Amino acid sequence: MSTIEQKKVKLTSSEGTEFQVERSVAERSVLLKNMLEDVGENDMAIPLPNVTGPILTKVIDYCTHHRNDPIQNHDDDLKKTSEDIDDWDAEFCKVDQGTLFELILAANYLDIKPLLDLTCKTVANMIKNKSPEEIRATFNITNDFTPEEEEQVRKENEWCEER
Amino acid sequence: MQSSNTNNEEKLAAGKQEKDLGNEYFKKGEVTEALRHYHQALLHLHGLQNNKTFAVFRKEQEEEPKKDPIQEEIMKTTSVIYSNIAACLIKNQKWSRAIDSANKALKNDPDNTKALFRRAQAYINEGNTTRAREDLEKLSAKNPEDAAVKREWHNLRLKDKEQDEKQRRDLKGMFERKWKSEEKEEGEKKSENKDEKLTSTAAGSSKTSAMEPRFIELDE
Amino acid sequence: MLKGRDTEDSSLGTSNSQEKQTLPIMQRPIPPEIPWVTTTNFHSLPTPAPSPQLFPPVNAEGFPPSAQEEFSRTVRMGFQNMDNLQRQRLLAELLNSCNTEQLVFVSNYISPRLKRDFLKDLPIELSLHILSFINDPKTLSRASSVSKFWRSLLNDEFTWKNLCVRHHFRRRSSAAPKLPPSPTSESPSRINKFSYKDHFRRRYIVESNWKHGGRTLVTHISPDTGVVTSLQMCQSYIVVGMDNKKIHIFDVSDGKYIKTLSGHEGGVWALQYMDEVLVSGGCDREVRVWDIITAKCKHVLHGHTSTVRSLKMKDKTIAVSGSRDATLRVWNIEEGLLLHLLAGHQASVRCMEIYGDIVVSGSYDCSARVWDIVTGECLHVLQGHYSQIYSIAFDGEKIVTGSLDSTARVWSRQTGFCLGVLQGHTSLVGQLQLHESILVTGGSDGAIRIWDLDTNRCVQHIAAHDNSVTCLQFDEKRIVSGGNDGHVKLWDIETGDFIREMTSAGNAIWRLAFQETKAVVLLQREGKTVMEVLDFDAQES
Repeated sequence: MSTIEQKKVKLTSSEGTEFQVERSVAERSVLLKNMLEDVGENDMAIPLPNVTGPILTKVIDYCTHHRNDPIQNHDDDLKKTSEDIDDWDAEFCKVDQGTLFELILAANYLDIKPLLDLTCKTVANMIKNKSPEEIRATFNITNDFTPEEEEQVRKENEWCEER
Repeated sequence: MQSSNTNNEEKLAAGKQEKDLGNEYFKKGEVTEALRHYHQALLHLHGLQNNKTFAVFRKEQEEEPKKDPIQEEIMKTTSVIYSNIAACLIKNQKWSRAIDSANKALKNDPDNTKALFRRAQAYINEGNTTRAREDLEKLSAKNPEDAAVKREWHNLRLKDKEQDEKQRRDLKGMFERKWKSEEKEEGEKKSENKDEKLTSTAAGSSKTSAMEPRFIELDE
Repeated sequence: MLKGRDTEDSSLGTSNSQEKQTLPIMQRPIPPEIPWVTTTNFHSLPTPAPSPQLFPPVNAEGFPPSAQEEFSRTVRMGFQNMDNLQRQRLLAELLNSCNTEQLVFVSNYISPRLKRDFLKDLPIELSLHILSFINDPKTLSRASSVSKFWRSLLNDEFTWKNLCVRHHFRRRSSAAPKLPPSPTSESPSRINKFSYKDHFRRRYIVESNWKHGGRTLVTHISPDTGVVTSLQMCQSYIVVGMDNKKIHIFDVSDGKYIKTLSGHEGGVWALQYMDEVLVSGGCDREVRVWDIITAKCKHVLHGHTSTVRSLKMKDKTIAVSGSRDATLRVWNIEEGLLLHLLAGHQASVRCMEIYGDIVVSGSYDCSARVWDIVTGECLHVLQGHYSQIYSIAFDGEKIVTGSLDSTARVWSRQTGFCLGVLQGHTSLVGQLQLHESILVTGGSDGAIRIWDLDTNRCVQHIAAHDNSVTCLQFDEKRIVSGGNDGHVKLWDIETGDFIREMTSAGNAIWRLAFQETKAVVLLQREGKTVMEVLDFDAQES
């Protein structure tokens, strides 16, 4: 970590709470990075009307931890699977589903690709290797198929079972 | 971030307001101020898009997804903002960022011709003549008589020439003898292509009236 | 996040007074237990839908139903008028006065409500992003049985296209030759309306058939005991060259025997075909050009003074032959004319490969040569091997040679320089195939090695056979190898893992070839020459 005092960037959450972060932390967000790059630094707080305070706190946690990560290369995307989540990130994602949901939206809003991938992977892992019934229970989903439809879907999908 | 529509409506209004402010500054030539307001506008609008038609490959469309007017307007407005940011960045000669912004504009509204035009401009300046050509061809197909598009075709040719010359200088000495004959052939091919293009665009011109370079203007 | 946020603003002014009114009422004793609801019941309860009445009227002592109803309403109204902080405080107080059983009740009641149907509630782009991290089709198909919405989302082509890419299921595989349109597999309308899901489904079935399914389409047992010298399978035919002078032709789609081309006066040692044109050469020193359709020999090309050991077609007009007489000859096979005599090698030309207008040849004189087919000029002599060259591969840029000196060498076609010496085999490198930066070699030491030509490093070493590797082929998913030990083995190219044996063992494997859904193996079993055609295609029921 650099010892040079970085200029702080002020952010305001949707309900008006102000946060101060170092520029390198804020720049994890491509939305903010582009803005800071285009208009320069400014003492005015940047309003983030689409993130609440508690979620912004989590996002800042994430960005602070990952402030020195190299920029992700998009070409690597396909090689990555949902298995490769490191311990810190896994711990970070141990939140209730509501929070996880909001984190996905926030990562998308702020354009933080690694956080978006992490949170989406976490959801993907909640789906993996589960029966339809287990998936419904995990996400509190009602089975809205008629028995006939259910039978049809089952037939449609026969090809990838038992292989 | 609850996607309640009233909430989105408010944000849309706020975003538009910032965008209009940005446009005013842009007209006054204050690019940085314009950018500031465009970015502020994005802070309201970004992430609200829920493009139900995103699934371009969707096989069997049970039913046409319902069009949500607010959603559509959010996408359109977001596209315009990105497109205008691209215009600012072109003024600032930040080509790759301009391309990036134009891409985002086109993602939100594939029919945003101005964004396409700006991307072409940025490609030319960045030296990616292949991509620039693709974009200009699309533009010519839409607006065969557009003066601004024609001007960019001209710029593209200049860039092509410049790159050819550079390559020639680089390769000179290495394959001098071989190069000369090929070069002649290629030059011939190129002029053929050019002719084709001109005639084809002329043939494609229908009733669209000749336009002044309108792409420099901003979307409102 | 919490539902309360949206309504937390207004009417704060009035709420305070109401709060003061309601709070004392709260201190009234609440029945300790709701008799007919036990916690175990709640476990098995289906997802509680939001009910207008949280607690139905209960006849507890000292609490007439109407009064309780009244009380509930007051509480609810009061609660609604509080701000977020006030609500939290009230809830905390209530929870503090609960016993364990009630807390369990609360927990069970709340937990489903804290869950989110992510795929349904998120913008569709993000839902698809989530699905893009799932690369096993079983999970995806199970997910499509969850609900109507999930099913429609999982019918989205984006997900399946993604999956195709991840599983290397290209739409048109460039490594394998294109399949002929078979009448049963696809109706014209389905071709027009390409579906990644269908494509994936088919390729997935084919893939799993390769791993543990498939069937033997046909087994031909030759009455004679000829040695198989050459094999080509692509487009519509399987063509087999034998040392008993015969060339047999079979149908790729069903493996059935079609015809035999006879005419060579010695064993056939090299052949290649394109469309209906077939060129062959052998011990009789002749190169023959055939029309497969009519089975007629169109030209007999004389010139070589010893066995024709290798032969390649550039197209349907030009072919190049290499011989034990140390020369290569470039032929116009349409006209039956010799175009160039490529002289320079000092010993037998054992192998060759053509790319564009360039032919590269490997010789027993330990060198390889790069020739221009059009001018007949020798562009480079590749020297470095200490012993005979037996195998060669060429992709237009890089040339790879395999030698008896137990190494393979990588050369630049442009400069003729040696780019790398690949060491690892302990005996002759007789088999090699090159695709992009992947090189697979098979040796007489029984080993298969996979090399990364970007670094010239060996990335996998497989102890494949007990005896020489006699043939191998790979594509983006797998390697199939045959050995003098009589086994045909299938390997995962990614991991180098053994997957299975492809046929029952024989005495020796002569040749093999495969494409997307088919494999053909020529082997000696119980003293006889046997051809097996294996099929891995999806069987439509």
